[in-house]
Amino acid sequence: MNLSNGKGSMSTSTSGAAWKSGDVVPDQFPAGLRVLVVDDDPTCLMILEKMLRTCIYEVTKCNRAEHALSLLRENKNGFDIVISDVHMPDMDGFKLLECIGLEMDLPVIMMSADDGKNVVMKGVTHGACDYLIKPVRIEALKNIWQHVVRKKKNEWRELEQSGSVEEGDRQAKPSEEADYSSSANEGNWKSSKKRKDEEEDPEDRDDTSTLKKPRVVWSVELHQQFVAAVNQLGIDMERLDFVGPERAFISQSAPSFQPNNRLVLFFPPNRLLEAVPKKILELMNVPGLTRENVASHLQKYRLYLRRLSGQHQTSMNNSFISPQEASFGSMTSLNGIDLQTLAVAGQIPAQSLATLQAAGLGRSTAKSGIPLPLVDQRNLFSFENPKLRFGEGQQQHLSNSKPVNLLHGIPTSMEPKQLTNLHQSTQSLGMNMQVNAHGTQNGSLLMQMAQPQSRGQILNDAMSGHIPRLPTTMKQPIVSTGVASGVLGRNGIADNGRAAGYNPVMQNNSMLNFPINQASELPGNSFPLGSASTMSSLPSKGTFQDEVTSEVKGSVAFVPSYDIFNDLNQHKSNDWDIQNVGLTFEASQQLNSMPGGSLDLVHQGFSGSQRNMPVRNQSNVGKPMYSMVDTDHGNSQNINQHLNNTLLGDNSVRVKTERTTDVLGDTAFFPEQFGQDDLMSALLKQQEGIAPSENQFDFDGYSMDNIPV
Amino acid sequence: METNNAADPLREQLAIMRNSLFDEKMLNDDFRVLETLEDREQPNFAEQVMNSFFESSDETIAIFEQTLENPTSNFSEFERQLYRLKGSCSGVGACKVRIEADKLEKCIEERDLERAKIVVQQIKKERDTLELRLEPYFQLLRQVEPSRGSQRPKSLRDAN
Repeated sequence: MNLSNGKGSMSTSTSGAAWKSGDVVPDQFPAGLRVLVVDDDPTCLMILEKMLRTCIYEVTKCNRAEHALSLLRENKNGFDIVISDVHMPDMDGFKLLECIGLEMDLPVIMMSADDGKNVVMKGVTHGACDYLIKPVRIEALKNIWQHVVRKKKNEWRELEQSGSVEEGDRQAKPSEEADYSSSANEGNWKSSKKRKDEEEDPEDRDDTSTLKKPRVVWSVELHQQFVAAVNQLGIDMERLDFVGPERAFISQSAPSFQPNNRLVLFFPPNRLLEAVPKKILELMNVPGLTRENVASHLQKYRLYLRRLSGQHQTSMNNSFISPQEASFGSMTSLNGIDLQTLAVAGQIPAQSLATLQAAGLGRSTAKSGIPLPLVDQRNLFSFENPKLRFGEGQQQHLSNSKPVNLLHGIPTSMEPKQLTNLHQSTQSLGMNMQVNAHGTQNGSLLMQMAQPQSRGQILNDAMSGHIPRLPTTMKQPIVSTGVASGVLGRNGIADNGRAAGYNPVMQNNSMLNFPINQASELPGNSFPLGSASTMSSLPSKGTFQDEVTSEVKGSVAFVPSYDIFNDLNQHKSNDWDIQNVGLTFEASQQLNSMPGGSLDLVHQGFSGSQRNMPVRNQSNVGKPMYSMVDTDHGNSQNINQHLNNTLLGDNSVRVKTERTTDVLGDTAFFPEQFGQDDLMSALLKQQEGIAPSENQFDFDGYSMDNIPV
Repeated sequence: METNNAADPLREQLAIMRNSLFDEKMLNDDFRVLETLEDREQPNFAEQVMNSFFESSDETIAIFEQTLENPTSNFSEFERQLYRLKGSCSGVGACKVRIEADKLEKCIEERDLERAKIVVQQIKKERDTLELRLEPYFQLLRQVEPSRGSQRPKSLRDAN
């Protein structure tokens, strides 16, 4: 036995309480692991408690499942792992398992004298991290800490990928250096991490747990509040700051689109992540909303704006940096940030970016650099480029809010629907990327991501005509990874592979797509990848895994599927994906380590993987999308529908087109058609049909004045 | 405590009692594990656990009997109790009782209620037997080694 206190001495008093994520004392670990044991049999409970104490764990025993749940709820983060019996009177052990997974996202070990295959399988499908057959040996209990570490590691990775560093990552965080100037994401990431660590832990902790909780649903009202706050604060969307010069940071840091470069992502300075969202949060004053929610939403919003501006300014995209050039610095502030975010968000492959850019510009460009609209935001408005809007509007959330908001905070009366419709363009992808970049939690962001992808997909499909549906849907998650998805759309063909590739990635990296939300969904932890763009609130993982569609509502659709389901089914194949995905956010080195080193390769890799898991992805990915369609009303639906329509065209996916996004129709999906004029008209037409046409696409209507620049 | 010499006969008796329990397969290694879990805080841990086992198995058996007397279509409680019994038997090392419990499970699967009733009585019997054997053992144990803590009787001449 592992008795540090002497033979058989219990260690209730040991540092149990001290063992918290981030607080762990390395040399004592896993001593003090806080275990909650639930079993209706007092005899077993007694034995387990004793055994666990012998392992120097901090044990709490409970003989009723309901009581256990209330204990867990009252003490959020008060336990590290739960061990539960299967057959209990008041609640089935599996149900408890699901609840815990959904609400607290703790690792749960099931146990029973019942060793039937079915019941053990049930444990697996419900997301148990282990299943012990009674009599439970103390040796088995000694190792349960591995589940805790594993889960945290996955969470951490997800968070990382999504660009947000949560407390869960503490343990694994690399050295913390606020080295913004470093071009490697590492520096940024670390600084972000550091920032996070330095931040209020309790709040972060809650956020972390919140991450896995139901995502924030960015309703129209909420988004409007958000936009209002943004406008009020005078946030320069280009620079995304009002407190500091990210621009300097951005321009200094080498963009990381170097050829063969894994997409060095660099993470906006902490300030960017912290201060701005914080302010917005304060201003919004919405109970229950966290800074992370805002931050991720902000990312998406910026992406959207960027996309809009980018589309308008083809010529003005001087700032577009071809990926190969890695000239982030040359990008305008807006673009710079966008690109960065994109980069951070997800390995925007050079090509993708180019594609995106091209798309934004209304033309397909091989490598125009970063597709993000570098144009002045104002330009966005002047250009009636529905695409831009779409990029932003895709996310229903965004679209719901005023279109203007998306457009750099200019209050537009654009209907979300319209926006969504408009989104068809890759812009949505852009949005996604943004979202990804920030990686903040984002229920809503995910949505956006998902949508954009679909858009991109659509485009791809349209262009290539043979883009596998899967990729499309799956792309959504990928999109979040970055522009790539958008780019893919544009390139169409080029993207196909990518999309495919991305899909898997996306799936794995729920975080990528949906920052924050993910947190959990990677395999193993069943973190919802939240690829579903529209799903801002991710239903519990447990549920999700079984039904992506149902869960998708409002939350990252993808995420849920990713959860257990992914874990179970796809984890294996997705493993590498996840790793890959995570890499994007991580230091560039990581990216390098990714198979294929370069993004392109990655894409390929993904595509390969994607093929392998087409079914899964589809189901997972597609579902979210569909769910969005189904569940989302309004813009998202429109978009989804479009997406679905287009995407699913070939795919067996099942997206039902709920409402035909007439607006976007087919035109939107085809990048070629993204001529500003064409798009505009298309959009305009749709707008009318979709929502009150308030000049959504009439950028002219937006008074740029509102936008603080 | 007295010197070993004085306690030797008692310890020897203790050892014999214990060994026979294992020899007769009334207890298995899982019980030994309980013993190893004893420490200063809970020197009689094994005894406490066994007491808990006997108590809860009483309840379980009662439910078995009641249910079999008035069989209902819903056997979920019965089943749950069955799993509970199996689990506790495994935990304490009460192998004979466990064997009977497994038989009962089979009877239920085969929907053989009559046979199930018989098996329930066998469960009862095994459980009672075990209790009868363990009680004096624990008593003696407390006598011989009141503060045994981690020193288990096996330190005695636990021959087998």
